[in-house]
Amino acid sequence: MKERIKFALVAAMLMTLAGLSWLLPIRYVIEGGSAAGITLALLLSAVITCLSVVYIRHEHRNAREGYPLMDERSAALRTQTGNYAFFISAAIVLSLFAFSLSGIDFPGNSEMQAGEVLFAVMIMMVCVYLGVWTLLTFKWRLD
Amino acid sequence: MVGVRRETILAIEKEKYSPSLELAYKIAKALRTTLDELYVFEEE
Repeated sequence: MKERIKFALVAAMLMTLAGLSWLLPIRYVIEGGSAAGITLALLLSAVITCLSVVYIRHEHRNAREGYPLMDERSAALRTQTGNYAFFISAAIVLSLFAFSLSGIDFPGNSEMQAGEVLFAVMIMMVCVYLGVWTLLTFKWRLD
Repeated sequence: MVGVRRETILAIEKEKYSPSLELAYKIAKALRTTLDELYVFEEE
């Protein structure tokens, strides 16, 4: 019963996340955003929704048959994916820094301030971390 | 029965995951056998 409650909570959170992710492309469409922005937002929402559906279906089967949501292998995978995701995101950020220092101009805004660059890089690092973490967790956990 | 996910049992069977001693003992107990009979340790 406890595992089913845990599954229900996780499923509710994922469905909420998937639902909220569609607000961005809808907003872009209503406000008349660029085609590239709309496509990217739609793609992101579609990926989040698809992964959520597959994950929920898989875990629903496990929960129905009485298997736990987490076990010792899940805990080990969580640590492993966290390490991989951190090193990959750090490597990408360091590469970006290396390119930036070599004198590459930012398209359309060559006078970008250092603070803005740092903020953008940090956001990118977080996005890469979350993306890699999600994909690795998805692959290894459901494997 | 032993409190782990289905994927964990599959991973152990495929030799992709080495279980903890506690889990190995639980599996052996569930299968009514001993650790020696169930697992073979191979040095790399």
